[in-house]
Amino acid sequence: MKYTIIDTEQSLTITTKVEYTFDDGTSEIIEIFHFNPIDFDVLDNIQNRYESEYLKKEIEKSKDSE
Amino acid sequence: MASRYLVPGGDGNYNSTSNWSATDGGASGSSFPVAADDIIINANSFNTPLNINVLSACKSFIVTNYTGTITMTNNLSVNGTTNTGNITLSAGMIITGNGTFIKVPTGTTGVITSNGAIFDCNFTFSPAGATTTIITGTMQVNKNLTFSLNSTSITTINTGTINLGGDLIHNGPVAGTSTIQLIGSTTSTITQVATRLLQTNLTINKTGILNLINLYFSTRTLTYTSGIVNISDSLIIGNCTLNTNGIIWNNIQTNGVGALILTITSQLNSISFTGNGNAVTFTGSAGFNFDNFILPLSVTANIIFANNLNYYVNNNFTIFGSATGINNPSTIRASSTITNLILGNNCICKIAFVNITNVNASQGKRLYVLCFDNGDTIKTCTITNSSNVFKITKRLRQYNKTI
Repeated sequence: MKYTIIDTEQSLTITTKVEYTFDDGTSEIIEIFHFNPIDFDVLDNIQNRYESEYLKKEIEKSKDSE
Repeated sequence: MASRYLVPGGDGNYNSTSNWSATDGGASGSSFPVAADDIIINANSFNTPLNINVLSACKSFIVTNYTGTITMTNNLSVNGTTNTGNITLSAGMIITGNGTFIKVPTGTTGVITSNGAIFDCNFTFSPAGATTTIITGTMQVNKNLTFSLNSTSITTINTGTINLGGDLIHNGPVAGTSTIQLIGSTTSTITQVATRLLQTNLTINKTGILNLINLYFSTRTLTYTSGIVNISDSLIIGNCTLNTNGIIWNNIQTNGVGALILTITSQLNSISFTGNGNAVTFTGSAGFNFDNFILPLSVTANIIFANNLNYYVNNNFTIFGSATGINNPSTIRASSTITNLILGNNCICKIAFVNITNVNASQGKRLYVLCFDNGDTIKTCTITNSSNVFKITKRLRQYNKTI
């Protein structure tokens, strides 16, 4: 018998609800979605979201100061 | 057709015979690899570096037990048909530079196995027609990922994940069960040819910015995890799953190819939602929050709000059928008695040629149901099972609509 598997499909989304406290003292609860996470992806994703939310705040601040 | 083994002691340049042997660990001096030759890099290469100094080609590219550096000064294409054109990287090796690593897939069984090594360069899939490539595990491309085929033939990538730090460019439709995950702090974008949908899973998980004009997406799951997403025009969708709470889309538009089934797994937020005449079913585990919902319908197209979820429309809720639909009107319906469709306090609800069944507007303090078509000609609608919630305006009664 000879066969080749050319596809398999399984997907899993994990949702975490995270309370972030930013450097300016504000806090925010955010749901984060993790698509097919492996190993430490969930923790990495939480860190990524913090960084992007922080960047978002910085952009808003710079807009406000213009 | 031959095998070429990378061996130490040469000048490191791809096109130099000083780096290549015809046997594993043998003496150098063999011709450098061309499109019909397999490149093999292994422990007997002793981590000697290789510089792709000229436009280069091979049949397959197999690396094991190697932690050296491949410098992509120029492009290298891997041309073997089906699984004779596999790419295998070795854990700990480095591929870097401004050149492009090119996979020329054919058939259905080509495999890319990264083993944790990263393409710190551009990567291009460059097929001549419809093909399938299998991604084993996670493949990471730090610069741009391009699917170059400029036609309606589908480039398929199955299984695994491609982590992408740069731009995604696809000139034809890209499908398959793989996930493309946008990562990194570099500002990036997705460039597509209109209507040629991205039909793989797509995850936005950046620490930086993703700038989009339009995004054509269908079939699989679009997930937002992190990043700043700027979209100046529309998310244009076919049947798919959207898990994008955290993004406010500018406009979500159906792609107009038959009835649409949209599965929503976290609240979907958009300034507007616009249809293209066909039926739409909203299903999944979450509803939506749109400022404007504007949906023209074909004769028998139904709008279905499933699963007893919350669907918010804040400003303009407009649905209109076609004139020929009077005797066979479209229907808005839900799976049960619902509080689903929650229309904002001052929402203006314009409906024409449409029957409404089991729709509540529990917050509809000033709900105007105006039975106009899109030309503002007064038309007939039938509204049932909503009497305790819909506050039908006198204007509607005045025009003798069936309630």
